[in-house]
This record gives sequence, C-alpha cells and structure tokens, in this order.
Amino acid sequence: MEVVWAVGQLWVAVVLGLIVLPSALGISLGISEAYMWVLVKTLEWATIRLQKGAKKRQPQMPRTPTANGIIERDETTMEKEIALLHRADFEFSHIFYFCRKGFEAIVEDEVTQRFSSEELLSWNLLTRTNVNFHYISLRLTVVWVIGVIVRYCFLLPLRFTLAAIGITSMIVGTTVVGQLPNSSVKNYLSEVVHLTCSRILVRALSGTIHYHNKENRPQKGGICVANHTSPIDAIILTNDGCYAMVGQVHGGLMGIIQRATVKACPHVWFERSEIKDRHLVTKRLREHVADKSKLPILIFPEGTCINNTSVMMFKKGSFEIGGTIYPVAIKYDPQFGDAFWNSSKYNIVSYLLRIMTSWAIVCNVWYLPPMVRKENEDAVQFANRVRSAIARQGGLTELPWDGGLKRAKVKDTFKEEQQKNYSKMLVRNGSIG
Amino acid sequence: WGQAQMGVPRVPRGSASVTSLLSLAVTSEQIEHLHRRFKQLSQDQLTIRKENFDSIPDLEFNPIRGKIVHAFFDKRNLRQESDGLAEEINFEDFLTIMSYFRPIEMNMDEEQLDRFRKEKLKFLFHMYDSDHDGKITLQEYRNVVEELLSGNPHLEKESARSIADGAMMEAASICVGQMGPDQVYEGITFEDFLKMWQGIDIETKMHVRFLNVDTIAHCY
Repeated sequence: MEVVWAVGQLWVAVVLGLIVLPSALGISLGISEAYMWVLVKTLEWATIRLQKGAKKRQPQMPRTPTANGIIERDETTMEKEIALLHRADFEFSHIFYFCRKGFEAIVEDEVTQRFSSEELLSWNLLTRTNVNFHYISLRLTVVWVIGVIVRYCFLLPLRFTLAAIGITSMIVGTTVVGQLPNSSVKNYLSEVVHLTCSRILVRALSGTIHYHNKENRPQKGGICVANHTSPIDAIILTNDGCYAMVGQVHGGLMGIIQRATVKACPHVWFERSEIKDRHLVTKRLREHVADKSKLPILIFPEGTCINNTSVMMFKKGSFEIGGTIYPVAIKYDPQFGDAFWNSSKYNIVSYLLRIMTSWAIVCNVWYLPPMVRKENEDAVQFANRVRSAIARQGGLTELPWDGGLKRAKVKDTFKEEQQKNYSKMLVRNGSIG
Repeated sequence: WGQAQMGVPRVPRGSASVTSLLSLAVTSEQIEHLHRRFKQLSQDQLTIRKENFDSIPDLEFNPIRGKIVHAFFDKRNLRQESDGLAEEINFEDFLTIMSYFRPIEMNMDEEQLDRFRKEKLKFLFHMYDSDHDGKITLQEYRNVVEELLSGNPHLEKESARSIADGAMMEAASICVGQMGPDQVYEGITFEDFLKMWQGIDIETKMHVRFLNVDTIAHCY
C-alpha cells in the first residue's frame, strides 16, 4: 500500500516539476525535443523497411508519386476536348467528355475526400493508418508492438493527467481572477492564466508547434482568421497569444469552462437562439472589435472541420464586421498524428482519445500580414482574397466549395452555372442552325 | 483483425472472383481503393442505391448525371441475363461497371483490343438507348441532347431539337447512305453505331487511369 502511495507521489512530483512548472514560466526543458528526435528516427527506419519490403513484392512497376488523389486527371478543358473530337455536328463526342468526368467524380471527387482523413504515403506505425500496408517483417512488428505499449500505457495516462490538470486550473484560475474588479492587473492575470493553461494543454497533446512570422501576430481590436481542422486549433493558437473566443454556448464540461473564462476575459459566447440572428451576431462582434482595448477575436470562417489538405469557402459573415483581419495558416503534419476531426465518424470523446494516443501533434503556424477590405471589394471577394493568402502560405489547395457540403447537397445555382457554360460553348461552335 | 498478419486489406471474400472477372491486370491496390470508395458511397452498407450517388458534389455539375447513374443500375451493363433496372448493386457489380473504363494495357493483342473497344461502345450505346430495344431512335437522341443542354434558359427547345435532328441525319447518311424520300430511318442499331466510330480512337477518351501510389520515404 505504501509503495503505491509513494509511486503516486513520485508521479505527481514528476509531472508538476517537469511539465507544469516550466509551462507556467514559459520555459522548455527539452524533453519533448528529445522525444521527437527519437520518434523521427524510428519512423525513418520503419519507412526504409517498408520500402525494402515493397521492392521485394513488386519489382518492376512504374511508380509515380501523387500529391492529392488516386486517379490521373486529364486536365484538358471541356472546350479543347470537344474540339478534338468534334466532327461536323456530331454531338456524340460530348457524351464522352461528360461520361468520363462523371466516372472520375464517382471514383474520387475533390470534395468528399476532404471530409475524411488524409491518406499517408508512408506508414507511421499507428494501427489506424494501416490501410495500404502489408506485413513486412518481424522487426517492424516488434517495433509496432512497443509503440502500442508506449502510447497506451505510458503516454495516455500522462496526457490524461496533464489535460485534467490543465482544465481544472483553467476553471479555477479564471474564476479566481474573475472576482477581481476590472483593471489592468486583472487583464494581465487573466492573460497569464490563459497562457499557462494553454501551454499545459498543448503538452498534454505532445504538441510541437512552430510559429512563423511572429511579428504579424494579431493585435488588439483585430480579427484573427484561420483554417479549421479540429477543435484543438484554438488551443494551438492560444498557446502563443491571447484571444477572445467566439462560439456557441454548450452544456456540460465545455459550458463550465465557458462560464468560468468569460468572467476573466471578454470572450463572446452566443446562445443558440442568438446565433440564428445574423445581424445580432455581427452587431455584437462589431462592438467588440471597436473597443481597441479588447483582445482580438478568433474566428474560423469555414464553419466546419476540413481535413487540412485544402481550404474551403469562407463564410462572408466574418468579413462584414470591419476592422483589420489577421490571417493565420495552420498546417498539421499528418505523419505524427491525424488532428482532423471527422465529426460524422467520431464523437468528441473518441476523437480526444485518438489524439491522445497518437505520437504527437506537430504543426506549423504562419502569421500572415494584416489585411483590410479594399474600397471596391465586397465581403465575398475579400473573403476569397484572405483565403488565397492562407492557402498559399500553408501549402493547401483552394476549393470554392462550401464546407457545408459535408452534410448538405449542392445548391442548384452552382449547377446552372456549369450548364450555362456548356451551352454557351455549343452555341459558339456554330452547332446551332 | 482475425488475421495473423497485420494490415491485410479488408476486401470482401468474393473479390477473388472479381479479379478474374476483370480479366486484365487490375492491381489489388486499385480494388482496395475502389472498395473504400464503395463503402464511402454506400455509407458502410453492402449495396448502393441510386440515392447514394447524390452525395457526390462534383457529379451534380454533370448534365448527363442521370444517365450515368442509370448506367450503374442497367442490367445490360451488369452482364445479367435479364433486362431492366436493378434496385441496388453490390461491390462486384460496382467493379463490373468500373471495368468499362479500364485503360488499355500495353500487352493487349488485336482481338482483345477489338473486344475492349466494342465493350466501351456498347456501354455508350446503352446510355442512349433508354427503352432497351436495341436501337437509338430520334426521340431518344433528342432526349440526350436536351439533357445535355438542360438548365440553360437561353437555349430553346427548338435549338436542341435541330441539333438532334442534324446529328441523326448525319448518322443516317453514314449508315444507310442516300435515303429515298419515303424511307424512314428507324434508328441507329449497334452495328451502325460501331460503323460511325470506325477509325476514331475512343479508347483513350473513355478511361480512368489509376495512379500507382508508392510507399516512398516521406519523412525528412
């Protein structure tokens, strides 16, 4: 009994001393760096083994690396292709083009693949990504088993402890700070509390985050806009600065956190009924932004989680508020752990469990220079401009589609556009009359 | 994981026969990809119905979407003896339809190439011949052209008609030669259809080619 007690005390001491205290002070002991180094070496070794194994299986087949898909897309435009096949007034040729496009879409379409996790080119020793890969060797299996033990028996309890500590201290800390009267001391303390808890939570995920261009960090009274991949995006960003969050009021643990934090720092939480009223939402956000002493607000304009290979349509609401927009691009490295939350497949608890049993969360955050809406731009064009900047920096593809397509069907207006294009082209080719 | 080895692809049992059905080298990787796609479309059920194709946004743009989806359920394409439409298709049927879009392999001989081409053209023919009577009539052709041009308010029905009529006339002239004023052109039969496409290389236009994904050293 005493042994258990002693072990427990040792455990808590280790966690507090090596992790919590440094994060409170904002310093790093280099433990995560060492861990990452070992991890990278192991994965390199595993990949080389896999390659050797693959070579043995299929000696000569022409291989081409692929960026973003499994079928070869013919990039010929509709016009060129039909011109090639066109023979007098022969419309049969048009069918070929559309038939093939249809089949390509059925085998793999650009949009729905964004709502499932990115496929890895090389296995990272996690069971869940083991889709394409076959049994190679005993050594690889042994390493994999060790990996499972390390992740589930060592990392998971550690991370869970840290997460619990982080959330509890966030709630307690912000409640305490919230009792103080409004003053600069209160703001300073609230920032300290938020930052510390964020750092603890990031370590709870074994997060390694590289921030680039810190000089462009969002200033007070601005709006920070980023691409959305998972609920932990917010923690990634608050690890490096303080923001006022915007979101809907939830119940349960999330609700408790929301109620506690809003006392210390002016986050903007909306009731479910208020969210539907767009004018009300815009008005409240505008008031917040107008007050230059308030922290910048954090918004994810895509509206839903995308799998971090592309950026989908930005909803224009966030860009109608006015003020300066600070775009931020977040790109996760899928090799170490998949951060994407596929909300139709996993609920939040199993998602967090998966995150906590991955190797690590590694990501790059780029702060882009601030942007303002130009005179002759409307909200939609401005949104697209910001989106292009984010996509270009993060190396993501841009898709004009709405993230809402995860759950809804294509709007008819889009369909008509395409059909108009086609008929216009027919008319031009003189096929009529 | 009932298997002793890890990571064996979870493709259903029946698929050993599928590879023989496809009769040319389709790698097991491609079958795995297609199987995953099938599961995605069917939402983890064993069969797909017409409604499942509604979840593909790219397909919505396609003017002949209806005909393409229809082709998946057409029993003639599924190589079944009976006629008409199937209610739902399983993975094997899905692969059967996909096989119409196989690219040509380097090692095919004359006879195989010819059979290949005929199959692709037959698929196309079935798309036009909606009443399954073995002939593409003027009305059926008009239907297809209207569908191609549907949704554009600027193009009237008359223009669609004249395009269709013009094309049919040309087809008639290729197949039957000069027609007398009393002769009525019944419709394009499959042999006529083949004649129309003689000499034109359609095989490269009607295929979907898979990329070979390699486990390259992707870490740094």
